[in-house]
Amino acid sequence: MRLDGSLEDFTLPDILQLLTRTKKTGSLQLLAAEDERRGLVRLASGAVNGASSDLRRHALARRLVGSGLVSDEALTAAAGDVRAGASSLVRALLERGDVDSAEVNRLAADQVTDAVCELLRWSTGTFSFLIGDPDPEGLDLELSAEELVAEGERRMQVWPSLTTHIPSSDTVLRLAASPAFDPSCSREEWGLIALVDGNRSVNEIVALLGRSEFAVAGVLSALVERGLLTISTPGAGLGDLQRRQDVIASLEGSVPASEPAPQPQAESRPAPELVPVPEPEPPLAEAEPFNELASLAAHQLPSFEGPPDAPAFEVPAFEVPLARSETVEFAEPMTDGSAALAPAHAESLTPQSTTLGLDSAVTKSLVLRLIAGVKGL
Amino acid sequence: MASNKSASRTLRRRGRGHAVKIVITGPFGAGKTTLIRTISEITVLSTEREISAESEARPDKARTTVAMDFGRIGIDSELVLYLFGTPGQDRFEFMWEVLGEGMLGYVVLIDADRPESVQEAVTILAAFRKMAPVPFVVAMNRSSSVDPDAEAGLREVLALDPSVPVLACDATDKASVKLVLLSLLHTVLESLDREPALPV
Repeated sequence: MRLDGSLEDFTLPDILQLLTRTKKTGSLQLLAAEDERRGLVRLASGAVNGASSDLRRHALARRLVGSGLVSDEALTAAAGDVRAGASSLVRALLERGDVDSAEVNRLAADQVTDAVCELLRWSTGTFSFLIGDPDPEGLDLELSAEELVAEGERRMQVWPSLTTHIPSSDTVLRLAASPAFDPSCSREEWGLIALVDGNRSVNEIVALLGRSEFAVAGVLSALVERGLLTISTPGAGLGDLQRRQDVIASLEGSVPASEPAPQPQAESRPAPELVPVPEPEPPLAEAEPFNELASLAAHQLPSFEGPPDAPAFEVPAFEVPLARSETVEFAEPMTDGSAALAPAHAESLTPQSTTLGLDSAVTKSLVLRLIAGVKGL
Repeated sequence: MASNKSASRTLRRRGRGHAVKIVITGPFGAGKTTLIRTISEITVLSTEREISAESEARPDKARTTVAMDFGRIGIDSELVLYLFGTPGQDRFEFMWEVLGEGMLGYVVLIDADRPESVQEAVTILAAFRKMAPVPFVVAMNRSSSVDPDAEAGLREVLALDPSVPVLACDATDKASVKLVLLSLLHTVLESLDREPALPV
């Protein structure tokens, strides 16, 4: 038996109220007119126990993965079960005992809330309720449709304010170069900060975490409002800093911060050609070695043992400004995820060299600067 | 959406600034957060919560890192070293890849007071080796020296190449933490010496 209609004639709150009052069990399937996306709300005796705003995606499974609750092995095995006919990824994970049912229920409640709130935004389309349609995930959820609708309405009121800080789901964010205060954030916020890299869009972060756009945008918007994140546009943030530094520099009579600084002597020379062991490498520069670096190079660190046949490295003359700046910030955060990960190498039980994966930007002069800086702490 | 990809994974550049990342990893309770707090020049960003799993409960540790720690060391006017601490528990393994992207090298911190810490480091080290074959050092926290026999056992369990430094450290002592970082940087330097010229 089916109940069919149009969302223009019967809004989702109306339909849910009807199904709840009559304590129906089954699935309410929705088809959005705008993009033909399919959504679904499952009910058991009038209580909501499942929902999805996009049936093409395994929304709850994605959320489990995004929360770090599923290992590669467990996911692969469950995916195999689904291909072999299991009703759902989450059910397969539960039946294998690879995820904790209490954790699944907790995340499922959030996911269902997000999905229903998303479905409430569909103003045109059609619906169809199938009585008794079996629930493939069989979760032990009993959410009140009235409360879900109330939450959806609350979110719709809040949404315009979110778009003030996050104009669209294509927005790209990055860490603020210089927050106005010592940062403090919640665990949830931190999990999102870890994914903000100046390259990923809000949409991509939503997909990575398997969470709703509203939930992710809400947290990110709050972080933007507090000045911990900024919208990533070319030159933003750093441009402001450089402009302000230039104002101070003009008072100091020094080189403006935005102009190129004089290159240190060592960097102005051609990069040395790196040669394999045991060929000794020529010094980077001809002048006297920098004393602190020389003493550091001679210093035997505890238990630090290089290869017995490795040559001692030559310490170049190097103008290292040891005084640390209190003002220079970096516009691009180090959580930048732009790089593909290095290809997998040998297995863990094989003794490993330490020399395999440095990229070409890592030069001896850079490492020597780091050594000098750490030494000077 | 921005899609500019940096040519370098390790050295991030914008304007005049460069930034380099070192990751501090190791088993649960090894002292990673403490190490970063000891050396960082900024208030360390850290996300911790009460320990929930009974198997992880320890009388001396009530809280654990669930996302990452983040510290910063200004090297000079144009260079910053960021320290990222990973959460120690396996269930946060998904964070490791995020944190390991583009790192210069990493420190595997082990609790010398807990023999099981070495075994727990095997999985972590395997994941990091697979993720990014960059230089690393192994630091034994809460120890003043490394016993040769213990070091030999550690090297066997972790399958360490002789060129990988193993050193004692006290994560609460700044001088000790400096030595750990310096050891890693020297290892990076030596790896540059050993490698043939890298393609530009």
